[in-house]
Amino acid sequence: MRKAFTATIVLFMLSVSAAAQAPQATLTADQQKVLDYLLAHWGRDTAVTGIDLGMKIVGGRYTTEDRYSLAVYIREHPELHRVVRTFGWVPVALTREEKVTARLLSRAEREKRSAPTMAELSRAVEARPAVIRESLRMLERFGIVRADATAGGVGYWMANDDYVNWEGTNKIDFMYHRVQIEGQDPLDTY
Amino acid sequence: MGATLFAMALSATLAAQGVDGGAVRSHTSSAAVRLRPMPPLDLETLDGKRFSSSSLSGKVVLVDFWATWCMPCLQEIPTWNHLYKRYASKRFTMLGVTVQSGWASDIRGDIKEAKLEIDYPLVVGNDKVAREFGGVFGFPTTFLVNRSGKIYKKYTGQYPEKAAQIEADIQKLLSEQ
Repeated sequence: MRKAFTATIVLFMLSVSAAAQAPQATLTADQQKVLDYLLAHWGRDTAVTGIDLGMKIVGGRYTTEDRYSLAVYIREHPELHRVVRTFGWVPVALTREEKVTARLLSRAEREKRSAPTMAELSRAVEARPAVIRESLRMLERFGIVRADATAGGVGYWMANDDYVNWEGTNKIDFMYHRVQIEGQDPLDTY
Repeated sequence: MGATLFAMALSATLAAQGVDGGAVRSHTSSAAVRLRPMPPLDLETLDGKRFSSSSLSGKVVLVDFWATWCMPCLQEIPTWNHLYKRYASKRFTMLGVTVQSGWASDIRGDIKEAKLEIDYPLVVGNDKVAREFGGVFGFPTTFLVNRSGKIYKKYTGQYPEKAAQIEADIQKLLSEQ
């Protein structure tokens, strides 16, 4: 009885978690334009262009919500492009601020230190606290960090061990550089 | 580009380390150490079959973590082919764990395009395997496993004396009962 109850709770939690990150079956027409751009440009000149840059280049009124939808879609469709299969969805989904924030939290947790404070993150990431807060919100939404009061500092730890051990050849260390070849669109590369 | 530079930078960091339950030990020490077992492997081969580490039982194994875009990794392939052939009849084998290079079909395509001749078995690796080996912080990273299935040494990067060092270590492990 108790086991069954526990199993039900676990299943419920899993379904809630799955629902929270459920992939969108389709993209809007404007989101599709960004995806088409990325698919056409990834791999050219070692481009691993992020969704945020793709949205800027395509133009129009794109929001963080659009980036989230595109990121989830790309995460669920690695067959879309070799770049996703090679480097994963994270490098193209996260902004520079989110990558650096995640990297700093990951390193602190791995080294068994307290999580960095907002002031420390703001200084290291070179972004205003409001940007850091938004980065943490998005990282939490992507399931990369989780709120944890015991972490100290900003109160976040990595959501699972994969992300704690993320640095090195794993994806978080791929801090893509934004470059521009004369006469072409800017691109993110590794 | 940056990843290749990272791999090349690692090449300058000469490192061959013994592995002791997660801690790194010096190989110049004669003190007895407790080696960490190689994690069990159940991975896909490039032709879509399953590869199990049980097939490595009782053999000295050189496990190379490489990526198809990593130039230092590609430069080492002739050396691995040479060692694989030279010691194949002496309970030695080699395994290339291909990471961050996409699916098996992607890897096959890269090998064909670059006209790579790889004689030893290749499998499709992942972050989990790299982590279970104790962490791979750059490519190439090579592990030597003894006949008891324990990780004897970890070689990080590409450096001039690496091949000779590994061959000497292989000979040492093969000579042990």
